[in-house]
Amino acid sequence: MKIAITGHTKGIGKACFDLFNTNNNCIGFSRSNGFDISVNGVVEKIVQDSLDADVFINNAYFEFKQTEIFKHLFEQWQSLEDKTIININSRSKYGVGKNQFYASTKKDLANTSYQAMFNKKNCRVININPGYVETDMVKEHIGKFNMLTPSKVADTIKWCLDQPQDIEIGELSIWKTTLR
Amino acid sequence: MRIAITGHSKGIGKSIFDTLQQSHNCKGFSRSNGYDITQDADKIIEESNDFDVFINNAYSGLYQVKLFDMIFDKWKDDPNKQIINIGSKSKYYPFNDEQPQLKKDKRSSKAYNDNKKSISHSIYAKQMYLSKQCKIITIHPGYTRTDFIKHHWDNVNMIDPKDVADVIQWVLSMPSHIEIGELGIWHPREF
Repeated sequence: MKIAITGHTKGIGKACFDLFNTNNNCIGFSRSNGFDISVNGVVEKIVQDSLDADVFINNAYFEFKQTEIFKHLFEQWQSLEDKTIININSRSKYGVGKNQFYASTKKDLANTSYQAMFNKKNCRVININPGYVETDMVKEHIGKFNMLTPSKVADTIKWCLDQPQDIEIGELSIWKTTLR
Repeated sequence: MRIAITGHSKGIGKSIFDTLQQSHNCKGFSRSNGYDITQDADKIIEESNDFDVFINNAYSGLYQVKLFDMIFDKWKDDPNKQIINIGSKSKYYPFNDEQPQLKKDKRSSKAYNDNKKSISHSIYAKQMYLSKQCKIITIHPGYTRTDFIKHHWDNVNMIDPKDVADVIQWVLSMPSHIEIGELGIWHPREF
C-alpha cells in the first residue's frame, strides 16, 4: 500500500511513518522536506502529490489547514472505493481544554468530515481523537497529565485501517482512563 | 471477566452476548427473562454490582441514560470497572426523514435520533468533566443487520451484529489505563 502522511517527522506522524514504512510505501510531507502547510499553495501541492496513494493520514496541524486538506482530498477521492482518509483529530474537539482556538479548529475538522461522510460516498473516512500524547506539542504538560505514547496511537490507527474495506471506523477516541 | 448486558436476547445485544460468553462469564437482562429496563432498573443495577463490565445495550426512550447514571454512581471510583454504552450513528446528524427509518413510524424514529443524542451528551458530561476511575466506552453502530430493520436489508449496506461484538471484544482487550472513549462503526457505503 502507498500511504501519505503529513507531519511525518515528529510525534504521532513520526510513529505512523515508522510503523507503516516497514511493510508499505510511505511518503511524508513536513516542513523539513519543504511542505509547510501554513504557506499558501502547499496544501494543494500535497493533495496533488498524494492522489495515487491508497491512504492519506491528515496529521500535521496548522490552524484550519487540516480541514482544507480534507476538503481538497475528499473531492478527489470520494467516488473511489479503495481509498482511506484518516484525520488525526483531538479530544479537544469535544470542547474540553483551555485552548479554545485549538478546540474550534478541531471541531471544524470533525464537522466538515461528518458532513462529507454522511452523504453518499465511496472512500473510507476515519477520525481519530487522541487525548494527551507524549509529543513536543504538549511538552510543558508532560508529568502533569497521564499521556498516551505516540506508538499506541499509531497501533490504533493501524487497527482501524486493517479492518475490511466494508467496515468504516468513522470515529475512534482514545485516551488515558484517568487524566491525572 | 464477569460481564452484565441488557437486551441480550435480540439484535446486537444477542451477538455481543453469544461472542463474549465464549471466553467470559456473562449474565443477560432482558424482558424475556423478567428484566424490563423501564421498570426494573434498580434490580438490574443491584444484580450487576459485582460484575466487571456493564454493557448498557437495551434501548427504550431515555432509560439508557438512567441506567448509565445509576451504574456510574456505583462504579465511578473503581478502576477495575468498565461501562460500555451502545449508542447509534444517528446521533451524528439531524433527523432526516428521507433516510430509511429505524423505527416503525416517523415520530418514534425522530425520538430515537434525539434520544441517542441525549445519551451521548449525558455520557460526555461525566466522561469529560468529572474525575473518575472506571472506564466509559460508547460504541455507535451504523445500520446493522438485525431483525428490527429487516425491511431495509435490501436497500442499505449494513454491518453485521458480529462486527459490533468483535469491536467490543477488541475494546475489552485494552490495558486498564487506556480508554477507547468513543467508537463509531458502520458500512462506508450505506446508501
